[in-house]
Amino acid sequence: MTLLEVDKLSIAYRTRTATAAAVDGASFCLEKGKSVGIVGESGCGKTTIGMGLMRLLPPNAVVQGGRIGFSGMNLLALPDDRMQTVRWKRISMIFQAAMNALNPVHKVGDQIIEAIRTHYPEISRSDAAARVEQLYEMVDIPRSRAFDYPHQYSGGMKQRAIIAMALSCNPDLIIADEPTTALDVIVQDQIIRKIKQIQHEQNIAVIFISHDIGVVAEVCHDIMVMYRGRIVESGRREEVFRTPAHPYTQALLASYLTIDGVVDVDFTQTPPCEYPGEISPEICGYIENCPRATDACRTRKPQWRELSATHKVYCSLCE
Amino acid sequence: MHTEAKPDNPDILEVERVKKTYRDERGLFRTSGETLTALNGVSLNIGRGEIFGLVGASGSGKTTLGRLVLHLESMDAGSIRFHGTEIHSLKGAALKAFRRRVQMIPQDPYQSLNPYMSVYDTVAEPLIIHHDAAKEKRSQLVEDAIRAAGLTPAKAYFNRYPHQLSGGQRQRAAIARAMVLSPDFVIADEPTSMLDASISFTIFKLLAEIRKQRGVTFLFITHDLAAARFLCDRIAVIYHGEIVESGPAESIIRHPQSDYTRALIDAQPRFSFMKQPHFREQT
Repeated sequence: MTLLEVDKLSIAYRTRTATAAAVDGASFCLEKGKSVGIVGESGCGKTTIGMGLMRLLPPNAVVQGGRIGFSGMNLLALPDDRMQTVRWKRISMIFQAAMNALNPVHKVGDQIIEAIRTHYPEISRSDAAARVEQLYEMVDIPRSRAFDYPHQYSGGMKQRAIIAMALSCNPDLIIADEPTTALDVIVQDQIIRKIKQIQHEQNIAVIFISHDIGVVAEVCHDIMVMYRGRIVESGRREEVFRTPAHPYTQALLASYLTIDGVVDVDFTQTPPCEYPGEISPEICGYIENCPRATDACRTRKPQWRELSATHKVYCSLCE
Repeated sequence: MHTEAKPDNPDILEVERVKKTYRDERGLFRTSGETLTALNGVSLNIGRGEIFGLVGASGSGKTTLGRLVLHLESMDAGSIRFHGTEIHSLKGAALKAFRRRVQMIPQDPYQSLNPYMSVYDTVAEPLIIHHDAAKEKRSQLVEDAIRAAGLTPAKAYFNRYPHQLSGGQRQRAAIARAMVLSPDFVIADEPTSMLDASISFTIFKLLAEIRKQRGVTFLFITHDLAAARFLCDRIAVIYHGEIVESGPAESIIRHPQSDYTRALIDAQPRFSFMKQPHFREQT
C-alpha cells in the first residue's frame, strides 16, 4: 500500500536578488512500513525535501509546484490546522542535530511529555509519563533515566531520546535527517540497528536522509541519490550498489572508504568539492564534473531511463 | 631550538607511559573526590614522515593525547619527547619554538576559524605570532600554503571570510593555517567529522599529498577505521585510556587481536547485503 507519493515537487529559496532552486521536480513513492534513503552532499536539497514534507520550510522558501500525496490527502493543499493533525501524529521527524536542541533546563522526559500533550491534549500527564517510560524501553534507555536533564545523557542517549520523541505519537512515517552524524561509529551502529528494529517491529515507514551512502545502505530498502536539487538515480539498494548507473553515483561509491573494500575504489574518480556557478534547468547538473560528459550533454535535457522496474537513472548518457 | 634527531633515534615523537587524570570538579569547593582517568600509561612512537592513526570511540582519550602532545595540557606521569627533547619541560622561547614545529588541524572548521578574519589573515596569523617572515615574503608564504591546501587560485580566496566558504573549503583554510609555518609534525584531530563523506575523501587525499610533498609527519586522530586504513601507515587502537593494539594498519584490520578492535570493525558499514544472493529482510 502506498503511503506517500511525492510528485514533481519543486521548492526554491528566495533571496534578495534571486530565486535559487533547491529541489527540482522530485518524485518518489514510499510503501507503508518501507524505508527509503536520500543520499547526497551538503546543499543538494535532501533536507529541503524533508522539511517540505513536514511543511516546516523557512519563510523564504517557495513551493513552486508538485504534489505530496499522503494517505489520500495532498499535504501541500491542506489548511494549516489540518496539517497540524498530520504533523507528529502521522509524520514525525528526527531533525538534524536535534539531540543538541534538547532544552537544557527541562528534564528530557518532560520534553517528550510536552510533545505528546501538544498533539493529544486529552492525555493526562501521568498517562503521558507512562508512555515516556514505554518509549524508553523501546529505545533501550533505562526507565530510571527518563527524568534526568539533557547534560546527564551521553550523545547516544540523547539521540535515543530524540527517537523516542519522534515515536511518541505513533506516526506512520518518520523522517530521519542525519540521525547519526556527530556520533562515533559504535554508537552510530547501535542507533542504525535501533531504527531498523523499530521500523520493522512497528511497521513504520522511514525516510532516512544522510550524506553517508554507507549508513543509508545499512538502513534502507531503497536509495535515492540527489545532486544539485535533482534526484539523479533511484532504486533498490542492491541495484544502486551493484550497478550504479549515474556517473555521480559511481563517483560517490568510488570515494566511499570501506574497511574491507567491498566497493571497488577507483581513485581517479572523486566527487568535486564545489558547485560550479548557476546551471540551466534544462541540462544535467553534473555536467562540469562528469568524466563522461559529451557535447550532446550540453544541448539536451537528461531523460529518465528505467533500468529495471525499480531502478531508474536521470542521465542523458544512459539512453 | 633545533634539536637534531639523533641518528640512532629515527622516531620524531616518543610517548612513554603517559598518564592523565581529570578531577571531577563539582561542588562549591571542588572537593569532590571522583577522578576520571583519561590516559592510563599510553606509549607510542611515531617515525619521521609517517602517518600514524590513533583510533578510538568518543571518550577513549584520543583527543587528550593529542592535547598533551601539543603541550596544551599538563600530564600526571610519563614523558613525551619530540626529536628527543622532553616537551613538558620546555618553557618560554623553547616552548614557542616547539609550537612552531608542531601544528594542529582542528576538528570542526565551523568553529575553529575566526569569522571576523579573512582567509589571508587567518593563514598569515601564525607567521605574525612567530615573527616568521618579513612582510614582503609573508604574502608569498601565505599564497603557497593556501595553494598547497588545494584552494586555487589562491589569490581568489585571500579576501574571503569563513561564511563565504563551504565546509570543505573551511577545512582547507585550516590546513593552510597549519602548514604555513612548515611544521615537522601535524596533529589532525578528526579533521573530517563535520564534513560529508565525499568531501572527507578529498581531504584525506590532500593530507596524503602534503605528506608526500613536504615530508610532514602526521598524528591522525579518528574513530573511523576505514579512514585510518586508507591514510595511515600504522595505527594504535585506544580504549578507556589504554592502547589495546598497535601495528601496521592493514594487519590490524585484517587480524584484529582485541575485542574492542573487532567491535570497531563490526560497527563499520559493510554492505553485507551485497554478498547475499537474496534480499536480506530487515532485522
